[in-house]
Amino acid sequence: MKKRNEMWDALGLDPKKEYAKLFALEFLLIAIAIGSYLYLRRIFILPGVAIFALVFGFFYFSRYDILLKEKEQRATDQFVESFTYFSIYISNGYNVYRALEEASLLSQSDIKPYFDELLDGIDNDKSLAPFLAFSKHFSSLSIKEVMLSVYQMVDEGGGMAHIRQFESLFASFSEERHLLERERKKKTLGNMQAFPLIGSGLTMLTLTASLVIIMGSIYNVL
Amino acid sequence: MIDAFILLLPCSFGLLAFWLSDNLIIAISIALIYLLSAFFLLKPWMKSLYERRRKRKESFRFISSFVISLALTGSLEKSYDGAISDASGEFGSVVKGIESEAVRDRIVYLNNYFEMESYRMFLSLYSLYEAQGGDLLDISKGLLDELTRIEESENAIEKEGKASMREYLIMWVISLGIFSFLRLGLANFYDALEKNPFFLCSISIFFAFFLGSILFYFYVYSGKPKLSFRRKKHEEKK
Repeated sequence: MKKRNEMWDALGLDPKKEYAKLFALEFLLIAIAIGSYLYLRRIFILPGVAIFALVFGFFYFSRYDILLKEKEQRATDQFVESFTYFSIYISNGYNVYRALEEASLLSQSDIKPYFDELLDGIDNDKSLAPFLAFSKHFSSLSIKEVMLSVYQMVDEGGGMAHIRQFESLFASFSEERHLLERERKKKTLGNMQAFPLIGSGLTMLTLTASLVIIMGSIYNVL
Repeated sequence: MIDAFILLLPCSFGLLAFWLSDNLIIAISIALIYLLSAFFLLKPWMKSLYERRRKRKESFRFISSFVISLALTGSLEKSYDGAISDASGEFGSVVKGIESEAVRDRIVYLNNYFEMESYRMFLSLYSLYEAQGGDLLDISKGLLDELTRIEESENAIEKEGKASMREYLIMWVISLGIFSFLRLGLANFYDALEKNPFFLCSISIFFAFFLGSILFYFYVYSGKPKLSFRRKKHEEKK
């Protein structure tokens, strides 16, 4: 329950509205079940719809995991975009704070609140904490390393050595992300190779069942 | 090529369904559903995929050529001309349509055509360079590196996607082949099979499943596009 509320909070959803939506859909299913039972007078409709409603409820709730993963994926993509902007400004002689401000102005909706939080944090706390808090929004450890290198640029001055270190870490993170994306797409398409096999199985089942029915009818005639 | 595929797919599957079921209603229904799915779903998805790939390649070539040329020559006009020298098709006509504008306006306007984050990054970089100067090659290094990584990754995804699609279609051809071989192999039984409602129903389910799986595959393959009937900005300007 607590985990689900945290999830809704992270997705910016209102728990009351989410429960209301689910109850409305379940109520609709129950109404259809009762209506069908009254019309058809078949008792099996009621347990059938009850099982369907349970399965539906389970899948309805599990979609939040997917939404959360998609949100993180989008935020990671936007991290790469924003820090590409950051590297442009850093290379042109901006200090870290101003480069972060510029990157924040050009960042997109998912990562914008994280940037605002980071800039507020830097205003109040000159330690590593705001940078670590920023990296905690992502599951990738490479983002943490990139943020540490950004902090080093603040802490030890933005010399060329630190800029090169940041660029190298950012490049390897971006490379890794592209590789993961490639693997993910390959896996998704690979998983779908099961469909033709299911199709073949369906063909064999169909033919076997049809032949058994025909043979049965021939046997009955004889 | 897409149009030919759209016409060929429903016709051939309608004929196959007729050969397998000997039922004109099933055959026509399958041909019609396949035609509508191909026309309203497959075609826009594949068109959107090819368009995105083409624009990504065009924007990559434009940005890298423009930045390198500007860093070396310092001439905006020459760099722009060099970057659009191989423009053809839709990009060529867009470029031609804005040739009366100032070079800077043309560069800004192309954002409406590319509609890509990388191009917006390039525009920010260009504005920064215009306002503050500096070593263009140095400040654009991060962007050019990221664009190269995107290009390499997308090319690899494209290549692997094509190989995967080939495998997928071959497996479906084999699956359909099983049906066809049984049609020929069970010739004595087939007259009875074709009159069996269960068999006819199963054939319809098989073709529905085949269509569903093909649509789902192409939906994922084309990057889960969202259909939009909004007119593009540069088309509106024309």
